[in-house]
Amino acid sequence: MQKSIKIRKFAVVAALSLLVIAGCGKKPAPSGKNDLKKTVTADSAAVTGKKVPFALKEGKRLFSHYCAVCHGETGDGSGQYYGLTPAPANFTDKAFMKTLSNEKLFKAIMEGSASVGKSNMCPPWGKSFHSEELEFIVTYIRTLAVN
Amino acid sequence: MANENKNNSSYKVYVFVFFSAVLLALSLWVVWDDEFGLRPWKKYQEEFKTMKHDQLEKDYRKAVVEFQRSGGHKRLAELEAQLAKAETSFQSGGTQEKYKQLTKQFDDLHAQSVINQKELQNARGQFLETEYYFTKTQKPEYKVKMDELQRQIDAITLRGNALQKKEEVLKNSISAITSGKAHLEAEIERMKSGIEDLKEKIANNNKVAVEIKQIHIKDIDKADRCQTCHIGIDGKRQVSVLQPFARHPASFVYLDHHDPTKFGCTFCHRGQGRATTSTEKAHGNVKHWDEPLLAGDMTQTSCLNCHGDIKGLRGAEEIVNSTELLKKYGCYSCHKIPGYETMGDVGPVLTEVGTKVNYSWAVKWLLDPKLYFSTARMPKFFFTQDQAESIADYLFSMSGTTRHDVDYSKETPNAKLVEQGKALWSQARCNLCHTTGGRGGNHVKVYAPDLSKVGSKVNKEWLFRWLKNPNAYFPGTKMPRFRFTDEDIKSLVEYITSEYKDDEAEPKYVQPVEIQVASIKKGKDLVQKYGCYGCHKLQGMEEMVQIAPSLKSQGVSFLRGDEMREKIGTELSSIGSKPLEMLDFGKLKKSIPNDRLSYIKQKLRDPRGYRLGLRMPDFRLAESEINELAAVLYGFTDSNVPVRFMVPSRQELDRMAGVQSYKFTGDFAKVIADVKCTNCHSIRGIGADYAPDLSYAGSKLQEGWIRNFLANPDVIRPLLQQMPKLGLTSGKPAAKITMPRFNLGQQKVEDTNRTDVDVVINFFQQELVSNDIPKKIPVITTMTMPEQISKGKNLYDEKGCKSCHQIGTEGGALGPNLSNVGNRLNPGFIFKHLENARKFKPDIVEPDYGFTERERIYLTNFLMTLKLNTK
Repeated sequence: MQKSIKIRKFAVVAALSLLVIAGCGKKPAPSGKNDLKKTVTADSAAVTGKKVPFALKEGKRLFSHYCAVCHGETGDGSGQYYGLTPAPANFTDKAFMKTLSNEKLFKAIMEGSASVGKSNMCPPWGKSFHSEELEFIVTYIRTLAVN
Repeated sequence: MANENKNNSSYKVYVFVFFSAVLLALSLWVVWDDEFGLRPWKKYQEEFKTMKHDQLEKDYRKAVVEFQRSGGHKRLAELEAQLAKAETSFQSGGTQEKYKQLTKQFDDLHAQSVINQKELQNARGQFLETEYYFTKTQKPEYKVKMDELQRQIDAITLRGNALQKKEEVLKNSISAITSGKAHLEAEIERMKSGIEDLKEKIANNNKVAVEIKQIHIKDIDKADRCQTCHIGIDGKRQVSVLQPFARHPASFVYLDHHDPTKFGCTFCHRGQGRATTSTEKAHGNVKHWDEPLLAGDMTQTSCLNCHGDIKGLRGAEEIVNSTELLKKYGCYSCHKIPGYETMGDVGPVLTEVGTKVNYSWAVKWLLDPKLYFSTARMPKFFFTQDQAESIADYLFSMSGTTRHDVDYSKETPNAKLVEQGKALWSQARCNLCHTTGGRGGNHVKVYAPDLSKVGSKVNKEWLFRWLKNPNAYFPGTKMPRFRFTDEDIKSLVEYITSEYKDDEAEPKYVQPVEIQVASIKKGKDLVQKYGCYGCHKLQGMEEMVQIAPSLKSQGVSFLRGDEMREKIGTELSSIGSKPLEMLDFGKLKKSIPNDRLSYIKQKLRDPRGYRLGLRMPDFRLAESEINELAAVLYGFTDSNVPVRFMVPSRQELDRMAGVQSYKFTGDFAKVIADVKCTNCHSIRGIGADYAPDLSYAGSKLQEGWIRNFLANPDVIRPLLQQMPKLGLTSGKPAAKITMPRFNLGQQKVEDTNRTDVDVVINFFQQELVSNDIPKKIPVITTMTMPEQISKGKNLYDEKGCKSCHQIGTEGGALGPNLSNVGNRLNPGFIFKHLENARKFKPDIVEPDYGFTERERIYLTNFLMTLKLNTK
């Protein structure tokens, strides 16, 4: 009887010490890539309030400065600059945007609308921007399509 | 007893076994934790390697398929067969023997040539030595020796040349034998190279070691290990858009100008660069680490660390916009902010305010400026009625002895004058800067007051004096002096005071009441306590400049130490790097997050909320403004910036070089001070970006056109001016925007014999010229002028210029109307502008077409033919 009590006492002490040892360890590190990707947005938000991806924000800025005057602030082809013939492309048209590959869009911006067999009304922007900037614009234009 | 003994020993065994097990488990855990638990980055590096491998593998397969599809393998097999044939023929008896013979000859010759070369060097050395002694001693024997050596040198050179010629001949014969083979080999190499390169890249990727990657920047002693996880951050190609593998966005702006191996990461992004054990620690989102990671727009606050002048800085757009708020609200008036010392007062002169406004209005304004108009910039000081009256008493006592109001609401305005005034109001484009009834105010950065209720604020006599010469009442005001006649001004005053009235105004002192002396004293004390003199010029308080803590220490500034203004009761601090324990959260310690950014934001939101007795007034900022301002303040740090990182502003550079910064001088300075051209135009870096930059106006514009334009300003870019400009509030109602008519050219400039237009033109032509803009363009002699013009016209049509520019009635309205461009611009400017429009205006919408010089000549010649008969 006495023995079993002793052993039990011992087991309790041992279990406690194990707990203590375990407690001394660090908190579980975020494991696996999924955890990490989550923390990226969550922890930056604490200080920065980062919400919009850089490419979209920069794309929007460039679009509204250089493109919106013809294509409209929302990209629907109705800028302040009305009465253009042919009318500027409507980037909010989902069906139309489906027919347009990223490569073609990129080329049209870079080398001008004439380079993809359209009118010469949209000028070539390739020499005025870094190719990454053009990609930002394409990325942004891709978000404009609505139903 | 024996039983107990046995029990005892088995007990010991249990203890031993148990602790052994614990020890073993601990050892295993230690090994595991050291290898994996504390090194989460290993997984990322492995994963990145796998992803990169997959990407390269995919490229490789694609390249192989493409190679096969284009028949590359057949061609390669052919080439290889040819090479084998060439090899056999090369190895065959005769050729091989000849080849060996020739190579041997060549080797022999080459050996001779090497010896010869050495002899030549030797002789030259001796010659130089002798020459040295000869020049030193002038002894003839040295001269003799020199001649002898010269002869030797000539002989050796001749021999060498002969040898070289022979070598050349042999080389040619050798290559004649091997050329077929070499050619084939090169061709095979070329065909294989794309694929081989990829293979090599894959092999190299597999060899990349999984290890801590650290950048150490010695002069600021920073060690960043961020790339240990952010392994693809400076890669040429995006491997994955997911963190931590993504490339740095817009690296052509950020990384290309800030080499990560020299700047590291945490210098701009903050965070805990040395930590690698967990994301939270590395990003500094842990207790006792005061520098959490900056990401997104917030990172741009770090630009302020080194860049003295961020205006127009690519990649710093957000923070540039935000710093505008410092100017808008005049933070520098109470706080010391290096770089803003020379900014003018943000509020008007108050010395004679008693002659300007109604007493009742002044009290109402002091109680809450936003009650008068909602966009008022002056903050609320939470004065009581009694306090506000005391302050008004003090202010009025500087120019009089009574509280007094005027009330025009009962008077009948002179209808004819009102009509004239209204016409003048729109002709002078008052609404360009001033808002009335929610209209106008497009040029927001001049912060002109809303005039919707001004008729119940000011009196007619003052308004007359003001319009006649604003500088006389408020030196340094942004209000230009229009060259109105007295008759004009009278009509304007009549129109303004009758049209823009406050229906809720309660003028209590139409019958003036004497001011109490005790109240004046009380008012003065309040003015001193709250530092009204920070923003307003007040008699007797001109020397008092700062009442609030400094926001940016001198540690970060560049050679500004001795230029700091004296400050009253301030502490030297850098708010963006101030240690947390020095921030007094007071009452809010428990209710808001205890970090620096939250502190700053809460301070801006509720300036007196932390504890009693704080004096900062409430600016009633919008939440977006709070975020922007906080971002700027967060960038005011005393971080240790190495000199090599510093990009001083132009003014600082001038100061360091001991030269005067650019300043307008002479008669033109008088015109500028009067007409305030720089409210809208920028000239040599001074002024605003609302209207075209005039820095090179002399090279750009023709004199006749300037005269016409100043006399009768017209719209040049109809659409662009109405576009909501970046950084300005969009959605402002578009008033007709043209340059106001200042009625220049009718009066002589003070102390001179010339009219203001003459002075302006003289200054443009003398000072505002650029050596980059030629006076004349190159002439093409091989083609007649009409041919060139017609070529230019074709180019104009072909490139679609008309989508933005208008000629006659055809074309767009975004760019300048070109119908009269031949009278407006100088050909040299057009020629240069077509080469690189961005040189003159970095954010110009016009793209670069990459015209050749000839094309630019054609276009210039064509455009110069476009002229309207204006007279």
